[in-house]
Amino acid sequence: MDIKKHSTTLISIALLLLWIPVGVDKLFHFAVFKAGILRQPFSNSLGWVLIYTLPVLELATALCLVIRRLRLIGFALSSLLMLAFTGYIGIALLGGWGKLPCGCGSIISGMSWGQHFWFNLFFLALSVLGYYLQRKTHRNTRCQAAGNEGLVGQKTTYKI
Amino acid sequence: MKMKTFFLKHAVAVAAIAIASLSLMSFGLEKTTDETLFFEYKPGNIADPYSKQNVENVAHWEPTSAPCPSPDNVLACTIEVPKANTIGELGLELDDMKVKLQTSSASSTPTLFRVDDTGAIGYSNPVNRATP
Repeated sequence: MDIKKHSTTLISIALLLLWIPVGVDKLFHFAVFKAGILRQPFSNSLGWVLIYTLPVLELATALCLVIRRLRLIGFALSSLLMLAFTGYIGIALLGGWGKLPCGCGSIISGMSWGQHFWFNLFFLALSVLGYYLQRKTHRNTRCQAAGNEGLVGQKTTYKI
Repeated sequence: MKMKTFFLKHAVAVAAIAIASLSLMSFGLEKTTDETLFFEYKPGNIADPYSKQNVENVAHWEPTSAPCPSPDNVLACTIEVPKANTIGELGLELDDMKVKLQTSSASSTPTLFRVDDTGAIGYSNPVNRATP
């Protein structure tokens, strides 16, 4: 139980090391991020949706990971975001976009697309693992709570 | 002891505050002045990609992290550009009002153009590469 709890704490911190700088970078360099997204090989209307939702989603993920009661949602959001990013880069690497899109405006812009893919895959695995462990902890806590309620119920019945 | 217990109990929140503070500080202190960037010639699938007209077209140049590794003097490859000479100073697209590319053809291959240093406007250190 303790190992699980410490593991989720460590995974949360590792994910915070990713999502906070990435989200803050997008807000600080909003113009660069905006221009970078609009150069990607998808429609501008989707680009505009992403421009306003991505930084919010990234920072919301970080916030959910910090608040213990919302940590499960945080891991789920982190997994979904990483899945989308990894899939996008995977398609790019397979030549699905015709020409490799520019990775402008990212704090990890020094990486090649191949390195970026493995980096994302690692954080995707971490997010999924975090979700799995947190869900187990959640279930155990709920079972314990239900058990305690049952005992209380029994006692009450006995008294009546 | 109480302090230690507090930090262990709220490890994620403490880490989040530390990471957020460091991120805000580092992005806030970032220098944006006199920064130079590298741009690589990437014409894509077009006809006659190394013609004079295409090489001199600033739209065919994209940001890259480093200059071309094996310089030769035949085909246009990379140039170094001050960030101030990019559109909106964002470092993503060359500003054609500030960057005028100078080209010349390799004598043996007149249809292939390279970037020149002579008469360069808005850029420096052109690196040309060998034919593939």
